[in-house]
Amino acid sequence: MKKIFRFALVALMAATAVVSCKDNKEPETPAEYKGPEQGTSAWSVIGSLLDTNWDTDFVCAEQDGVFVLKNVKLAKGNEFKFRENKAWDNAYKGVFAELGKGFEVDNEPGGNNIKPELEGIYDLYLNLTDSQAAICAAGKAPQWAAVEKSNAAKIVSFSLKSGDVTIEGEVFDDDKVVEIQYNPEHAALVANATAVYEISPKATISPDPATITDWTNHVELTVTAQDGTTKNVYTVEAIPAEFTVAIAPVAGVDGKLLTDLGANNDIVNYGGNQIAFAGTKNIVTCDGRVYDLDFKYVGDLNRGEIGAGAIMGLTNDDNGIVIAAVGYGDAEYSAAPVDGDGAVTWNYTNSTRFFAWKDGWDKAPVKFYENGSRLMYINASGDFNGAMLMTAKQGVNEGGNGNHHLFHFQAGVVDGSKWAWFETHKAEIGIGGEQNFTSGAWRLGASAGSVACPVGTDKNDALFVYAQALSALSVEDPNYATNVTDKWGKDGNAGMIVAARQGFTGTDLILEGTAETVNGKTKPHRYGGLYGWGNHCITGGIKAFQYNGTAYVGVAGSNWNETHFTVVDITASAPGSTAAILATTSDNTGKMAGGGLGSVAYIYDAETDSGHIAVLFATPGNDVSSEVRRFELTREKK
Amino acid sequence: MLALSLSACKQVEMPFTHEDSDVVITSMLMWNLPNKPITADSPFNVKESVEAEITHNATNEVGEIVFAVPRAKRNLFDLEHVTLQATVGYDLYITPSLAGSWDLTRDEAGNPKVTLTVKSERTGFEKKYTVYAYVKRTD
Repeated sequence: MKKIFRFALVALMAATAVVSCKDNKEPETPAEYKGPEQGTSAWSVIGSLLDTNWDTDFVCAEQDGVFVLKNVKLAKGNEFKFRENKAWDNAYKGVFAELGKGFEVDNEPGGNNIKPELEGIYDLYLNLTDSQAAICAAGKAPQWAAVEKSNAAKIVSFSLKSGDVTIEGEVFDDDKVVEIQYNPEHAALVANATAVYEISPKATISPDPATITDWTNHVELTVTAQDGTTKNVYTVEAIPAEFTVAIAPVAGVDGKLLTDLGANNDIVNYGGNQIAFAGTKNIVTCDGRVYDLDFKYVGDLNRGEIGAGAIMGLTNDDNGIVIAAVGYGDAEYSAAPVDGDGAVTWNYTNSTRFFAWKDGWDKAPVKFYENGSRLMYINASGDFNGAMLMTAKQGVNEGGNGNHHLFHFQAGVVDGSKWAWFETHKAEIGIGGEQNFTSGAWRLGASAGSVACPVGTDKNDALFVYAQALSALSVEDPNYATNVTDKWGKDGNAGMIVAARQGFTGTDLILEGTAETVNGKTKPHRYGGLYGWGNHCITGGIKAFQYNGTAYVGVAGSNWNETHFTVVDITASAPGSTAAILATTSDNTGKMAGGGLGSVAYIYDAETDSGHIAVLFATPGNDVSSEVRRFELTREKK
Repeated sequence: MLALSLSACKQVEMPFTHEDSDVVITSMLMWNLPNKPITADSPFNVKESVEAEITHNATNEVGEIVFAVPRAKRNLFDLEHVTLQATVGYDLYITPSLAGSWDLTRDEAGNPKVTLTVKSERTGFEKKYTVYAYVKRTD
């Protein structure tokens, strides 16, 4: 009996051993191994297995929503990862736990490779839905670990990207709204942008934002949590950002004397702007000195082939390429002015050449236009290397006609077919006739007339702002007569008119300053001039520009002993109601016997998202009171 | 003896006792300052507060305390670092202590992370409130 029992026991043990081999235990390796069964999915296994060294992808097949590589011969010490598209952008690893059972994997940087320490033939599984992998005996199905599915379904962050510009979105989760507040200058980008976003881990989003490029209209996106039932619908709304725009003088450089900068007091010999920005970090004045934004001297403008020419006017394009109108023919202006003897004159020149400092103020400029007469009071708008619109007034003498010219340039080459006259409010001249301006009024030289400044590159729709010196008021003029309490006298100095129009033939919107306000009125007054810019007829002291989608003009005016600077908000202005972001600020130097010649320059600095403004008031003559001022325009989202 | 009897009938003064429905957080303020300003020029140097909207619900239910930050003030608050101030009735106390900095954002699923308990020391009755803060899209 005992022998029978013992035999039965042995047989039972043998049978048990056979059964055990059929479970998920390490099987025997077949005699001939033909390699893994590869598929065609985007996922593969790579590692130190199968006599490779992280240099061979074994492509998985897709089976019932998971990826599998079957019939893999593993050896002790093998390590591997699953990866997508044979690249390391998306690779999964984890810690093997038990044969046939799912274990957690992730695609975070760092961590351990999968290292099962198994010998034999196995099937390798990757379950992305549950973030698990499994290693099973060949032919066996994995047992996935129960996963508590996430119910998180949020848009965590969202932005739009178009070229180099990223427009950040703001997620208002309680309202389920994503606001894309775009700056005015980025409005067109919203129609052709790519979404960059983050949603809750393991959630999905529909429709796929990658399929959408036009975000101008509201777009609904549904985020579904991993649990498949929790959903949130978000509305992506692209709206123009609202900003609060502010202007402030720059400390330390508001009212700084030219002589304190190391410059000569009498650098200005002409009307028109005599200051410009070189890039967004430097300022150039007509004497060729270059400063940083705080008016610290940094060097001299490279004159290249300018030779004996005199800089008669300065402007810059929207990118800070300095442009100068340089006159030739009068030897006197090849010499540096001496302080104290710089009585302003308007000596004529034989020809004018336009130069541009394309490669920076310290590199030689290029000459890009030449005219046989005197062209000055220049202003530019646009891109010198692309489309640019320039205004320039031609002197009456030496063949000029005293009128304003509009020039269209493309990459520095003038398009003669687009040239046009710019006629101001007060007609200046009939062609061939005399200039009709400022007789008897305070002005500088016979060429004082008007200056125009464009914002835009097409004369038909660009914004133009012009300043024109006005004739003296007659005694019969009602504005003259109402000012009997003031010492208007016979001068009748009306100062200048400043007006804005859309398109070069548009209707003028007359703008008014607030110099010398008396009883709430700026006109008429001896020192305020008819329109409140000061009664000193200077021309050229305006610079129109656009910031935050709003059109502005900086106006530099003066009367005896005082300079006035105003920044008008043209967009918010209406007839009889001039809005200003900087109401007229006046600087009384106390010794301006010669009157102030104002110049204004502007450049937008994308790096700081601010507008730099530089103002030069020149008082050539016996007074040493020429000064510079700096202002900054900034904006803050509401 | 009559005098002694009269004296013995004098009514005993009862201590104050809350009704269960009185055990509430009356009001709360959320301040934008942590224990000290973050930097000298930090916007958090501007002291700002938001008053809570409190939904008590029924006496035995969990109440809800919500701080809705107006849009215009959203840059003045770091909702992961705020301080709290509460008003409760006599003899009530709140746990955990309100001292220190609080994270009043919600979790990934949108659930408040913070729960406060107000309790009557005398009766032992307590009521819970969930607390969270968010930014309103409008003012």
